[in-house]
Amino acid sequence: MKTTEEFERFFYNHLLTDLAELEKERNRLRFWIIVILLLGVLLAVVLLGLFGRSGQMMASLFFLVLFMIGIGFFYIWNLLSKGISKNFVYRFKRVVIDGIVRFIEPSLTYNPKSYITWLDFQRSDLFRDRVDRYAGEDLVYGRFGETEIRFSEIKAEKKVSSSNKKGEERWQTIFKGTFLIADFHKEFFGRTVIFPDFAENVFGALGQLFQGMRLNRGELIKLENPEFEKYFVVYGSDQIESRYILSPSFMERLLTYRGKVGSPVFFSFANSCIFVAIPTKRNLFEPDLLKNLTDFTHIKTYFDDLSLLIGVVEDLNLNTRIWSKQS
Amino acid sequence: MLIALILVIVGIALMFIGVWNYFMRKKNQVYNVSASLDAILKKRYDLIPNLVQVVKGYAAYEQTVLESILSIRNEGERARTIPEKGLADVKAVKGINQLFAVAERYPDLKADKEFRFLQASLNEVEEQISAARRAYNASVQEINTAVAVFPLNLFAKLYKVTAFPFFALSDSERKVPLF
Repeated sequence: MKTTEEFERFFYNHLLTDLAELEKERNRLRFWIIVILLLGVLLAVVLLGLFGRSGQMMASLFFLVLFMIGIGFFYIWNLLSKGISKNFVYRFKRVVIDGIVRFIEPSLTYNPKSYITWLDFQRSDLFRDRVDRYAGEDLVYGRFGETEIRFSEIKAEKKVSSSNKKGEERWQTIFKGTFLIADFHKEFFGRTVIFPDFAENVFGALGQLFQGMRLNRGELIKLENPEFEKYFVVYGSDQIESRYILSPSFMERLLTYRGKVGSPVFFSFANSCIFVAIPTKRNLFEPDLLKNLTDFTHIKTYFDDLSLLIGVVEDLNLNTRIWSKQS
Repeated sequence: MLIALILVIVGIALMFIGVWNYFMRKKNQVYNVSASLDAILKKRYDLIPNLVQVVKGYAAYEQTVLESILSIRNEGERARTIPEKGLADVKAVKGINQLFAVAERYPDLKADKEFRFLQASLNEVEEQISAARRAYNASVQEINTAVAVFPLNLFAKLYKVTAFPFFALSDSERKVPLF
């Protein structure tokens, strides 16, 4: 994997020229967004002046009108900012995200409009809720060494209630974050899923009882590594196969990877592939209009996020295959 | 009063049945994993003669090593109890390592397609054996804990459930494996 020092050299030698151009565009965009915001404030002040003289009787009407204008303004601002920044976002992704992906591993391809398919999402067996709305973006795919890898941002939701009187629908997020699939270095036929262990962490021994009761997930696999057991709970269709996948050193690698991510991570193993789901509220590959694009520390966050995802191949040692999946 | 008495008796009966079922489930789990472990060990013992045959073609002078690995293999096949199987397993791992050390001295053998295939297969089987051993020992750990702790130990005595032997770990397994 590429180091931060190597990326710093790449940043100053290759990215900076294009970023300077993008930075000009960002400043123009920021100017227009400030203008729109100021217009909104001005409109509010004018309305305040008009209604403020009409006495107490008009006060409630004033707030109602102000509220409605506020909502209307928010929608217009949202549309405008999306519209004017669309081209900028596209260029940003082409220059920064595509550039960094190719810098880390030239054989990988980046497609900002594509994403992991719903079928692949289902195959992981991590989230069994009914999915009514499924979308994503920023697909990275290709071969890293011996390993086929692909990942993208995903948002899967389900409708929790039908339309109410106001015609609004309520949606519940099943998963939002980064979803990764890689070819696993061992051949297997069953299914093993690893969830972050909320129950045992919170409820201790009682939590273990809850874990045992999740029967529809297969057998509860109690592993020998106490640290691993603290952070994860494992279910599998076959005790031996799950242990075949989760060798002592592989458990250590998963723990280290979880530490690097710094938040709960879901893993699953099916069809000789590993699925990794990292929930996040952040939109990882979008430009931040409030931050300077020529600032190295800012662009480094994109490099760090991509390195963490592509690095799963090395972190989990997926390229070493002396077993049945030898090519 | 009578209803309360009946409820207590039913409760006690249910407790006895529940504990009996618990022990039976745990025992069956040990037997199931043990059967799977046997199947994988058999795979290894089936591979060894083929491997010896290929090595013989290139390293006929290494008779001692070849005979020793064949005798270990036969011992493994004859083993019936878990301690016997564990002992044979430790010996088999040592023997296989010796055989691969011999192969290191013969470049032609190392390059042989069939040898490489058998070596890869054996590596795969060793990894499976390691997983099966861990699964077996985890199942044994569960039932042995139940047999040892109060008040389950009283039921264990009543139902004549005794502790199961652990499967011995090979030297290589005491260290962290490569994968």
